[in-house]
Amino acid sequence: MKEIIARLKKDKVGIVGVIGVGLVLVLGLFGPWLSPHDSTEMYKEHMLEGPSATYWFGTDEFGRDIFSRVVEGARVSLYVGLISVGIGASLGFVFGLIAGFFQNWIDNLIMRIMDILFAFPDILLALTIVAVLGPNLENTMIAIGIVFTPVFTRTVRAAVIAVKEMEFITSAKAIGVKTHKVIFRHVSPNVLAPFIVQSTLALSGAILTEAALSFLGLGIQPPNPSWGAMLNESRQYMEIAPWIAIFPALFIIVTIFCFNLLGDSLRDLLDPKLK
Amino acid sequence: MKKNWMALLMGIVMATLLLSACSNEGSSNEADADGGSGEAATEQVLKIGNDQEPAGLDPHKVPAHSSIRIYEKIYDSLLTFDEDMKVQPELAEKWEQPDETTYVFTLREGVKFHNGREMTAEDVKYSFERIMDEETASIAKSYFDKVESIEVVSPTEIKFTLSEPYAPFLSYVASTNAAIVAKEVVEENGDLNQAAVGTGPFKLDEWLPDNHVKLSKNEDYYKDGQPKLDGITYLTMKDESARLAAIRTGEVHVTTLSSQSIPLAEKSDGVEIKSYQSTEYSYVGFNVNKEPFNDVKVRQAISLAVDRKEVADVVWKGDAVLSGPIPESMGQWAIDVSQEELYQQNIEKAKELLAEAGYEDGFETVISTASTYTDMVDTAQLLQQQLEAIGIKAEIKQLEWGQYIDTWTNGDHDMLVGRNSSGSDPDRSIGFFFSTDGSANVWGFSDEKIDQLAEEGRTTIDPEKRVEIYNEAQKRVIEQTPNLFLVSPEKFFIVRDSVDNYSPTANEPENFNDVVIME
Repeated sequence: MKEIIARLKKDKVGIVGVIGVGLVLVLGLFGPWLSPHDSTEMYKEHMLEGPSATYWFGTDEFGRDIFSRVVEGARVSLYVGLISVGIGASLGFVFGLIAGFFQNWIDNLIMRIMDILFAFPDILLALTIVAVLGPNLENTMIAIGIVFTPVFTRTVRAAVIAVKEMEFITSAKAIGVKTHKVIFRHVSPNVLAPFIVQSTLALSGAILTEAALSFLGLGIQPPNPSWGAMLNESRQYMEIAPWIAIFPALFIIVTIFCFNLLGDSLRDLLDPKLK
Repeated sequence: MKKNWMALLMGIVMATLLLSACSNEGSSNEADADGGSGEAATEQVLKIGNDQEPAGLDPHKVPAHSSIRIYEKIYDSLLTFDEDMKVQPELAEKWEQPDETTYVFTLREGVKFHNGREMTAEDVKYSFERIMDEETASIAKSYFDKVESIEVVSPTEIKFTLSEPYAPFLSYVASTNAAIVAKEVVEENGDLNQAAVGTGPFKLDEWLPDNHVKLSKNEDYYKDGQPKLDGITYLTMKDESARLAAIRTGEVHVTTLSSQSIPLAEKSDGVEIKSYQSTEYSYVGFNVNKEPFNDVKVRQAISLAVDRKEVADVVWKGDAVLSGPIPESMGQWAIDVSQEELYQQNIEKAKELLAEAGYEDGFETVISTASTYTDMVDTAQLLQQQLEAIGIKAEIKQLEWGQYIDTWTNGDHDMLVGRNSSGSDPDRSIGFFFSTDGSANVWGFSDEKIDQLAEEGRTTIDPEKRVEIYNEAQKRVIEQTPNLFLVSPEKFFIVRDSVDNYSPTANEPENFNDVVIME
């Protein structure tokens, strides 16, 4: 671990990613204390005003403070990102372990289901799931989680297949360690590296998918803000009040960028071949 | 269920449907002041950016607005509406009503179809029989269910006999969908979706699918000196930004935009925004079978808690007026709601009513709306905030359009934000939506007095008495509040300055008979 941190310090790009993600985390965690206004309060005498000392990022069509909404949106984005990746990653981890370790009919069954899920474009699949479950934040997270399951399953399965042929697994089996112990005690720690990298990258994907779903009106329900929902609402005022669109868009771009930087440098760090 | 769905669909299109062209009152010269140099241009072809490809041109069958706006120029009906929504003569010069169930129309003489043949009472009979024939599947069929027989008295006289008194009859005769068509053209082509021969001011020249429809002037039009244009070309432009660009650059003379794009159009040179009060109104529907909305006091409390003016200002940027069950643009039928007690925001009174109903601490509820329409979502957000003042905590649920229609039909909602159109006859606003067996009464609402008034309204022929009946009915509906009527928005046409003599109205938004294009 120490070694990893030491090497991360040398990786300038990685540091940018860490700082960016850190800032978004701070926004998300301490948002309510940072934002000057209530994110859903309508200041109707200040509708569609540009950035000012009171309303740093301007106001929207109801006179709501964009800055407060962006901050609140960060919270929503992180919340959705973490929970949905959590769902997708845990499902994928378990499925991947089982499929990779046994490589029999269970493997076939799991992987064919994953192939089916993979065959659908992400947004389409998420849309369908949300449409069936009903549009709200919880269902959005479940939908994104399901959408991300196949990718985790494949990543973990590939790693398991490589690991399980190694000698220490063979010897563990030979001395009679029970199968589930082999899987969870001996195989799983050795597939964590690609799994962690995948998780970081998936976070940005999840945030983006939430933005897309909210943009389509199926994510978070108004008046609560999320970056995607804010972008959706801004569309009609794009030319007369561009700040409504610019700030949430900027935050989406920067956040995704930082998560990807972090993911990339983690991949380099954790790849044994690059040591 | 399916029937109700159809009813809603028809409802949505009806306002636009029932407006036929041809009365030239109301056109003004105000455009002179800011338009052109006063010289008529050599090319008198009006180009219109149409937001949809027409779905066929059969006036008896196609309800799409993109089609209506074209075929209403090609066909005439026996009657039409004036700005007060009163019926006026069109192809029929006059009409008489010897008894409550008989109508005799005298046709205008010398009116010619675009193929040169003179229009006679036989054509009128044929047209109505075509509408009433099950096989035609006409959207106007139900309008004439009460017609028992149609009899040609002479080439210029025709008699309709109804099975019972039915007051909306004349309004439906004035519908664009009751257009008079030529028998030989229908027989030759099977239907009228591609071929169009009518008596209207313009005739069909060319229809290039997904591109344009060209109409040219009918030289034999029965109104002398009309139309002034040589033709109209409808260019299909589905994309809102394409229409905005086209009107800015002058590629088209007239187009429509949603109210959100109006500020952008306003900023461009050489264009003018023309607005008219639409026959639509926004509303909140209550599920009156579900607690707490089964208590009229709760519904009244909500009416008192809502600031309708703010809905007009925030959601419609001020381009909307207060509305009751019948919006202002319905002229003689509408009542002035601004004085109604339930329209005066009064939080104290609202809280009292809630307390009387047993909800002194308010309650939690869900406002459903369609994500497709930003005005509805915005209205929902504003109401949510306004209702907080009396302790009602509402959660908003945006539904995709198909789901929204399902919810509307099945009535599995608490509160539902929507937009309705009032059509052209007040029976729609009262009987159709709020009588116990009304086909669009999806609220589960039932009130004896309204049922009785709706029935009287349908069967009373005397126009003045009808107005009184509907005035009373509206007050009763407002008092019972099965729906919360909010505001009636304006609609917009974006017009180049070179277009002279054009002013849209609710009864006929697109009358180009007097329009002249200036240099």
